[in-house]
Amino acid sequence: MALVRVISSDGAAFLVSQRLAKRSGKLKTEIETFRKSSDNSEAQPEIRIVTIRAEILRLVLQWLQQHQNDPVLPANQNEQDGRGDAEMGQSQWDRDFLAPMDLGIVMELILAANHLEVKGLLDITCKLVESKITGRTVDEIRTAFKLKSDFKGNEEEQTRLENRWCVEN
Amino acid sequence: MDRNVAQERENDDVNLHESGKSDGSILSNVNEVPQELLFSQLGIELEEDHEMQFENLPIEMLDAVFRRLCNPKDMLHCRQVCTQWKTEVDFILQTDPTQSVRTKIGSIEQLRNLVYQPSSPSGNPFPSKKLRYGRFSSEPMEESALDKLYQSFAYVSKRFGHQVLSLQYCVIMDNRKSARQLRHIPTNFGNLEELCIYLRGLSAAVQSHIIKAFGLPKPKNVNDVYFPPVVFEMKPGDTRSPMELGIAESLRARNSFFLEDNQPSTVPQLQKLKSLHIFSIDSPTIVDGFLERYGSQLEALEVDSSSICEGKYFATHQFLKLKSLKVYMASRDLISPKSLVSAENLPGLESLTVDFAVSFSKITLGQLVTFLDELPRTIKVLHVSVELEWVKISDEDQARIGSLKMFPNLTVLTISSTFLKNPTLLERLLSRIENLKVLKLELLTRGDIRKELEQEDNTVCEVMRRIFRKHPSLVDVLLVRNDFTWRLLINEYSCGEIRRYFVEDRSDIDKDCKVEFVDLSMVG
Repeated sequence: MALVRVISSDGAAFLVSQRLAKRSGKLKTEIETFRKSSDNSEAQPEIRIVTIRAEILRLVLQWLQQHQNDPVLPANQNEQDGRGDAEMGQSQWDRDFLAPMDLGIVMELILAANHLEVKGLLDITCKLVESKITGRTVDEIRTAFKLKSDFKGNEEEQTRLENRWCVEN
Repeated sequence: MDRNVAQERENDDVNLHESGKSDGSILSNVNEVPQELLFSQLGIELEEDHEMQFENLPIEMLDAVFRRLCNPKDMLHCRQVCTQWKTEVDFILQTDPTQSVRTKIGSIEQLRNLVYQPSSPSGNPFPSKKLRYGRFSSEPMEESALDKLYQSFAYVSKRFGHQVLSLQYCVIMDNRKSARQLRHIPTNFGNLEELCIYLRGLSAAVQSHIIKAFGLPKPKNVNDVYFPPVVFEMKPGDTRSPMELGIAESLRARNSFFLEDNQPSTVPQLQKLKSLHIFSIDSPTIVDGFLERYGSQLEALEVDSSSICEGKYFATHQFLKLKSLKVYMASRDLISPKSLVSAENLPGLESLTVDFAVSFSKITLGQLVTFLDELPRTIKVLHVSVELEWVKISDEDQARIGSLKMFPNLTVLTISSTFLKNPTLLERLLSRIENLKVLKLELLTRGDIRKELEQEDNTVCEVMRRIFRKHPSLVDVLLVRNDFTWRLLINEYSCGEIRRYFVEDRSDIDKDCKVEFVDLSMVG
């Protein structure tokens, strides 16, 4: 079985089957580039991911493993077929996978999924963040995301007034 | 299935987990690896409080999250959180055509808010650069307030017009100022990309104001001016009926303007205008004028069926840039004697919505086939909302549907759910669409949908299996409601669900056609 070694930013190495690794757009490209540049067809590719630490990389691989038999979605799936992400559904496994994570980890996962081009994971993590915004007040959103208002003078009041005139079309 | 993961030390000399056998996955299960052991053996200290801040998320990720928000209220809350979020939300609101948030000026109070509040740091009071101006609501408003609202459009357009990319404007037939003020649009809205004009009532006077305001060409023959009867209140001593008075007034307005010589227009062209929506029935004079002046630059057009069927321009010209066409209140006139929506006049059309259902026009299968046959094959998304006359199906029509020219680009199709009652015809139609991904079957019946579906569930599932089996590109079949018709007809029924049919594993379609309900609000 063909393997690839994927190394995280903090030096942890994961030995992964190439079939699984290729479900990430980024890893697929790297493996193909390695194959083209290598004289030895048996050589094992080694890919360093300098932006993703081990804990996060492990979660991405775990998610890929669980979803290894899913159809691979093109990056612009929704534009092509006119459906929303919500229609793609989210499995119970995904919900259990994300449940214990705090927002900080989820945000790192979003970055990792984006960098490694794993669309399904990107969708469910973004959707989780979205759920922390939906139906909440401004203060509740600030608390959830640990953000502080940095508006100056009457900017915040002005923004509030602008919103008051807005309607949904 | 074995699931294996191994994590190796960077120097390759220590395998934390031996691989053993594997079927092509990770070499041993990461879940089974005690995290402490994993990282301590590697000599890596796990940061206990490794927490990322949301403000550190790159802008494109913020963008990805915000774009998923379905409710505009949530979007507006986000722009109040901090300056970075406000900037990002405003960018999305202003550049994404699917975002529907717009600033509404429809009352004196809203007008006052806009005019007297200090402008924001960027000087732009329109977060989405989309403005809705005028009295859209049918609730009564004092005549003086209405006058003031429309008179103020001159001030609003001079001060803010250049910041507006999309404008919805409501003309009220009984308020002449509402039509006259349109003249400020070409002069002050130089960046306008989308224009929607709602006409609450149409008269010869309103038509002449619109034509003057936008410098549109007049019809060459005055008899081509649509002449809607206007009912006037009788004045004391006048012996004529209100209808006669209305006709006399309309004639006077028509003759005073339309019989004048055509002068070259000095009204500036809206150079960036690419999307036009005229919401009024029977307005061919206006639509023809707009198409003659702006047709070559339009990418999207939304009009009622009568306006293009009774007009001259649409049928006789090519619209090379037009990608999206929506025709509401569609009637049979759209189809016979020759389809107006054809590959000849719309060679680049990508999205077509034709709503026969709202006007309660039933068409025969033969007419539908004729209509489909004429359509440009560049179409990617086709929405035909129609109730067919199923009793008039001839063998010839049934055969014709199976020999339609192929639709090579079509990926999303919406047609009536009544096709489910004739699966053979449905399959024949789908056989002409080789790359279809999403089939939407629209429910036009007025009964209790849920009961109806439950009764037919087994039959429908069987049809779905057959469809999935024969169409490998198909991902989803959705049962959807024609929202417009439903809102119009059955206000009390607020079904929030649709039914979705899909298969997870194509190798086992016969057993595996799954059904689930989806929240209607989630479906675009």
